[in-house]
Amino acid sequence: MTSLPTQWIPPKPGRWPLFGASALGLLIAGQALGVLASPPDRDMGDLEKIIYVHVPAAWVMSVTFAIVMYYSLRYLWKRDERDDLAAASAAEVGTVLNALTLTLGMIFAKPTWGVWWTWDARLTSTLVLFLIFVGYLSLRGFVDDPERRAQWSAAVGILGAINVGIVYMSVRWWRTLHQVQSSPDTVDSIYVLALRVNAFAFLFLMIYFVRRRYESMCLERAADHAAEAAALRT
Amino acid sequence: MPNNNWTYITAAYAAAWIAVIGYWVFVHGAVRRARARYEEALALAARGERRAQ
Repeated sequence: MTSLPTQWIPPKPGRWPLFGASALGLLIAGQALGVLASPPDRDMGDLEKIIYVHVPAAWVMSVTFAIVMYYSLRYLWKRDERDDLAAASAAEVGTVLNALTLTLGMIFAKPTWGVWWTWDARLTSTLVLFLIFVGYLSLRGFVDDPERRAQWSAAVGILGAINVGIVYMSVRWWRTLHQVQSSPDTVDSIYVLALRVNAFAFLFLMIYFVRRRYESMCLERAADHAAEAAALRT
Repeated sequence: MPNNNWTYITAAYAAAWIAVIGYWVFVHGAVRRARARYEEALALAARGERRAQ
């Protein structure tokens, strides 16, 4: 068997499939709790049930982009390509969560505000965040040189993650239709349990997705390295 | 506000599940394809190594 440099021996799935299945089970339980057990809100009625998907998606999106920032900075410091792959995995998952947050926000906005979309500071900054990370993923598709791709991606990833702070503070810095930041302190205690269960379910699913995507990216790079090594020998 | 907004609630939960299941399928496909490519590359490299010896 050909030996690869230790850093390019790809990670194994281990117990991660079990972790993913558990996260999915927790999501089913959390959503059942939210839909079936939470009472209608005084103002919004049953529409409050949308918070169990919209708010966790937004929270976990922010955590995911914080992971992008951590691994991007780590890459720039240590120049280890595995950090670049970890950042790219998190960026992809974060972009999916960002798209989901925007979609759910629009579905929530129509019956509550009467419009699907408005150029409100929170919505606009979230859209900008989404576009930055779409740019990040496109950039990775365009640049072939792994080192240059990693450097440029790290720069864009850090810029995008900084924008998460703007998204978070937008409801305080500007007059917006969107309510202030949601947390267990800003909702009635009767809704907190379902919100927490769904938040943890989304968090665990995000960790699972990032880990499995990292595994696939490492396998791809390991295959490249093995192919390069074989080509050099012939 | 009317209390019969189940169309929006159903749409929101459907969107969430489409995203979760859709991405789940994509990630598993990506892992499977990458592992197959990696094993193929290793087998090719091993064949080249044997030939060189």
